[in-house]
Amino acid sequence: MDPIAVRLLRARGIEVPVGDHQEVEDHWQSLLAGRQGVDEAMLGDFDIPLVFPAQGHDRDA
Amino acid sequence: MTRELTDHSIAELSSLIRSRTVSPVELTDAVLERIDRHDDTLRAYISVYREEAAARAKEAEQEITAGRWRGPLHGIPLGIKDNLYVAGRVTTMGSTIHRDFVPEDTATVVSRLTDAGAVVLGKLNLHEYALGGTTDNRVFGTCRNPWRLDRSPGGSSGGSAVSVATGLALGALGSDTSGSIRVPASLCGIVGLKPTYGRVSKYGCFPEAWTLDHVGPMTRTVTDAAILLDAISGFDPRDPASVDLPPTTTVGGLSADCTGVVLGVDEKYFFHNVDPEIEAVVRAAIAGLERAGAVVRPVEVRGLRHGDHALTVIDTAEASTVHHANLRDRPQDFADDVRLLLECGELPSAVEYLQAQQLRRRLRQEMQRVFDEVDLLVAPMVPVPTPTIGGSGAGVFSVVTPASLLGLPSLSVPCGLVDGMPVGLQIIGPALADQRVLDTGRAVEELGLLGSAGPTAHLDRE
Repeated sequence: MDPIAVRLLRARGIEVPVGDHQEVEDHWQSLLAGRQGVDEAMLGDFDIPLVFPAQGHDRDA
Repeated sequence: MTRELTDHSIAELSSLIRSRTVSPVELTDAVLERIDRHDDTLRAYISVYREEAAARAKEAEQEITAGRWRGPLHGIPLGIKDNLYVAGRVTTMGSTIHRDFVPEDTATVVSRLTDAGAVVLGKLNLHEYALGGTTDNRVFGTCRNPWRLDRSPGGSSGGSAVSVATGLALGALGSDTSGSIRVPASLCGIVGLKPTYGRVSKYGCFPEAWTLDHVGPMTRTVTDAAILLDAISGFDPRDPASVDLPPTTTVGGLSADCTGVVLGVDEKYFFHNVDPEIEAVVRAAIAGLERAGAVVRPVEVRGLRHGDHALTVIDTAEASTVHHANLRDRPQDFADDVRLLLECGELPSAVEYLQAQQLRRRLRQEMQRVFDEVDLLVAPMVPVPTPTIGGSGAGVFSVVTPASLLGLPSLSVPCGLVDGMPVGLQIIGPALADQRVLDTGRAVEELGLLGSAGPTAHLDRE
């Protein structure tokens, strides 16, 4: 199991019980998938970018 | 006589009380008697204010007799979800940690109900801290769906929904962050309204996720929901998110005439994974509205699928912010599912949270574009069959996102049965179009799709 999620929580002072590890990891993976979807949405699903484009940072730059 | 009284709507009872045909004392006694008879099974209540309710009912009776009728809630017994503060009374949030918590102040919505003369019966069961959808509460008991006792009532406002469905309250308040009013309303065959964000004060409602939290009415009829909304809405300076508008006046203008109302149907988002029998019931309701004069039009809210991610990030991150210290210091005092949810809420980065908020703003613009084309969206409320208690509940909350994330008014109104269990139609409107949403809910009621079905018959045979 990728322990990144559990390590992240430990860094915040939260010890994740072993019984929760897999579900926390599953949620972490779903967050990564959602994150990728949002990144793609910024270019794909919308007519305008999510953020008003700063010069040099808009999608056509 | 008892059952007959508690089977009436608030609107009907209000007239009977005003004309002094029914006494608030008689009515409150009847409801308390039903609580005594059924709540060991249903577990809708966490605490019952028996003596106080009787005293308030007596007071209401005296005022009405003296000609001082306060309005349609005067002498009406109501229940309150136990995440709404009542000064000097234990408010548990359905939790171990707050099991003995006594707030110093009263939630604005509760004050407004009591000012309107309502009789507060007590506090209703919920999923711990409103952080879940079953109301299978390890501390205060497993709340059961009165239509079939082995089925979940949904949550988190499960106690509110069950109490209203069974006459253990004439109406109730719930809270809805990501479906917690509308889903249990749908599963229990009652009406649940999540008003426009900021239209109803959430001062004194223990936060789940403060940019998403709503308080709203749960009732047997749309008219009753309008009565409650009018009583609890309006600006509250103590809630930073409160919209600076006077209380709504929906009940006076309520109309079941949907002639010319343009209903949008987003097949791609709302109908992509619906149980076939539930889909048939929902489509029949939409067809009924069309026959009654509404215009049905296909629409697509672009990017809506990403809203689910944004809602998850915002809801869980804000909830974990609220509970961070207790999660760190006493995690064993949370229910297992709630602890797990809070652990997950610690994971999103600041960038992710802010990106979710950006996405939310962009979706709001997109939704406004859609509402230039249609008046309302209609959809299933719960696209899967009612889960059994202890079951996974997968998919139950899968179409709550748009109204939750964007703070739009959204109503669940019963529109039929599948396998003997109620199905809700979800009606979503633009911000502040609560009246239009309620009007269309009335139009659904006029279709008579639920017939005379109800959950109480088998309870009363017990």
